[in-house]
Amino acid sequence: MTDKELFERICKGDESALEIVYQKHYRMMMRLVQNNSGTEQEAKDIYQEAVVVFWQKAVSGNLVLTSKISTYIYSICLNLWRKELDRKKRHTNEEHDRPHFQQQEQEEKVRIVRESIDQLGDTCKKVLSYYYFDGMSMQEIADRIGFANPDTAKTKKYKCKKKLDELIKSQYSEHDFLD
Amino acid sequence: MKHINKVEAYFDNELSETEKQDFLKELESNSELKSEFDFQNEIINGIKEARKAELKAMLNKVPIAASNNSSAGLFKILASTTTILITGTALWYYFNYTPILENNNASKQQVITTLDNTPELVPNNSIQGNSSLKTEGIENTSTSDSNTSNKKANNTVAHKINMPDIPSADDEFTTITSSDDDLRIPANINQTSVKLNTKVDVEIKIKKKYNFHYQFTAGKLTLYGEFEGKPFEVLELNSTDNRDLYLLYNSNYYSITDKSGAIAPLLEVKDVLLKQKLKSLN
Repeated sequence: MTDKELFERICKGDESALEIVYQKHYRMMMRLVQNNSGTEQEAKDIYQEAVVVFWQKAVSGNLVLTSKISTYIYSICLNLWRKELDRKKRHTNEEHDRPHFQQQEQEEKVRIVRESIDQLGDTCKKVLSYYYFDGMSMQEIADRIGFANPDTAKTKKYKCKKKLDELIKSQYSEHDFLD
Repeated sequence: MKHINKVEAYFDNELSETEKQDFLKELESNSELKSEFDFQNEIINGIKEARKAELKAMLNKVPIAASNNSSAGLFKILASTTTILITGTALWYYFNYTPILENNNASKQQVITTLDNTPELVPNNSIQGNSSLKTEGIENTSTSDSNTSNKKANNTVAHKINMPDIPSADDEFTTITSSDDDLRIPANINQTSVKLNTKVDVEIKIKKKYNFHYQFTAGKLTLYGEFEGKPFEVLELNSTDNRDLYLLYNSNYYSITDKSGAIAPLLEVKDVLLKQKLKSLN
């Protein structure tokens, strides 16, 4: 399958096409990080992060591919790994000096949000994910999930978001996270 | 407009550029708006992270081993195997054939020594499988003589190939295991051993008074005579309590039994059995 075909499928939200891309360039991207002081796990994390960025940009329609897919992902990997190396260098001591209280509160909030999302139904999760992460339009969400029209998708999105807000708010109140 | 509506409009990208600027300005001064903004921001980031985690979980399930890089892995295995085989073969040749090379060098040394008329022909540490202690050849050797030498050289090689346990330099005695025809022990020399690598210095002197004589003293053999430029060979026959030297010259065997240091004539061996025994060694 050519890069053009794969890219077209990914733009339409075809996750199996993303799997093909991931498999195809796995070794090359892993070597990039591992040959530059990265561990195997770090290499895998960076590569997956890069593939997800590529997916997000392609699906949202914000990407016009002028090079090979591998070249594009390679450049993302390179930038992500450089950032990670900088972060490692900068934060060796700072991380330890940061107050534990703030850090723990932030981690707790993230946990609450994650668990609240998990409590949503599958359709709600998809609608919110497609909208906020994939950047799909209501028409695309309607097509993808099988709603009658974009308005149905919009209403569903509104209801799902409201439900999620309430779930999280109640949890935040319990933990005294709300000002 | 409620705070929540403003914030949602901002995250839904529904604000114009001017409205966006106004919103950001108000965010700096309105704490309630800021609070709602932070809350919505955490939720949306949470949704994004959840989707990322979902995609990564999907990627983690992709079978990598089935990719087209499996051929590279196969190539690596083949390359490693080839390297091991080559190294192993090289080591085998090194440890098994080095002594033969030494033997060849020894043969060359023998010829050179002969030309120099220096009687020390066998290197001290070159342990050979043939029965000759020293071989002396002369440059103008006849064809038949050179054939004999070649034959001996071939025998030496055959010995080495069939002797996986190479004796160390300290081994003084080795049981003969060959004859000209095959490598089995000849029946008539079962109780006899040949001392290999014995250092017997040989010197040739020409004295009119002593033609075709010898003198053996202090491990040194002096031969008197011209020997007509033909090669000779000194054989050593050891039994349990004797050590006898014989000279092979011109297809005849001569005993060197007098070790008193006196100059004695070289007498041809007439004993048929002894001749056979010596012949079997040669």
